Amino acid sequence: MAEFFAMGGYALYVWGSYGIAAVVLLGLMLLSLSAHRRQQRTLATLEGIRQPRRARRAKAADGGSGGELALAGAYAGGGKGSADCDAGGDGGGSGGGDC
Amino acid sequence: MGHATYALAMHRFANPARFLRLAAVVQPWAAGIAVIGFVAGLYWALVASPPDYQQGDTVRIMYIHVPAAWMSLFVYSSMAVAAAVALIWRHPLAEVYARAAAPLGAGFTLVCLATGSLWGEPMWGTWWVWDARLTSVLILFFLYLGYMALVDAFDDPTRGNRAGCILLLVGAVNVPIIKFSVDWWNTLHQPASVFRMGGPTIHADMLWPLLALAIAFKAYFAAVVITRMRAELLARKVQALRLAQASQAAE
Repeated sequence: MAEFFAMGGYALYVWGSYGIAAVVLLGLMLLSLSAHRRQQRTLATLEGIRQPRRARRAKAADGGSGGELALAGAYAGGGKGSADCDAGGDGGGSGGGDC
Repeated sequence: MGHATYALAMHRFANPARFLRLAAVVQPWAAGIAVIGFVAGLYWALVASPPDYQQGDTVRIMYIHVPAAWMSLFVYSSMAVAAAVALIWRHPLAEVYARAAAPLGAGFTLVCLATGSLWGEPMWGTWWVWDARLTSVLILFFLYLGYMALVDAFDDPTRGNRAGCILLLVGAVNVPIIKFSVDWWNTLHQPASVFRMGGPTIHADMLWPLLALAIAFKAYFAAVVITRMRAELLARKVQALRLAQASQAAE
């Protein structure tokens, strides 16, 4: 066992290499997972704020699908100008035909 | 496949809903293959494979160094292709991919450089030498960092992504330079011994751990890049919702 850890006298180099690889790969993985969770939480909070508004607007406009459309638009977005379209779709109740 | 059909096929994946469905299928498999690959690969690399008759146990550094080097080139090449797709077809997912992959590519390149240094000291007698292979890989590392800094350097993310794509395409010239540096110039670094004309010159006992860890690295990359792309898509959705709320508040 001691022989295994000694790596023929090159322990520092061999274990150092595997250690650096482990730190970098695990670190990037954990950072990526936590960034994903953070975005999920932010989105949940934002949608929590939106929910009552959407319901109110849906009742007022008696149309109700504006919010869904906006959400789909936001997801399909990412390209240039999509934000305008989302904003337009979102304001569907109040006649936002920007896109 | 005609150009129109091809463009159509590309745009099927432009739809994040479709991408997210595909990602949900691919990711667990990639994660599973990565875990199996790492367990088997590390066992073969550290325990089952013999020490080299010249290099002793330092040869085990190869099983990390070489897969990391392959990944550093693979990730950059895939980002350059994504950049071309983003610039030509305005495919939104291509930019999402490039942004998500960059830190992982930089990480693989860092691992390649660090393990190379740890291998070079006992075997070559130096941590670093400014020869063609090492220098061109260091430039690759800076290309990754430069891309990551550039895409976030603009107030308008569209301009940042565009500038980043152009940097990726210009920097792509470095990829063949790295690959062939060991043939074109006299360098301290040895030439390829796996992907070469006439087949690998490496013994099977050493090829297995190398291949297992190469597969593990690639599967790890696939699993993590999908998480990063999902986070990026969520970030864009959050941004769109914030803009929508701001415009509502302004009404």
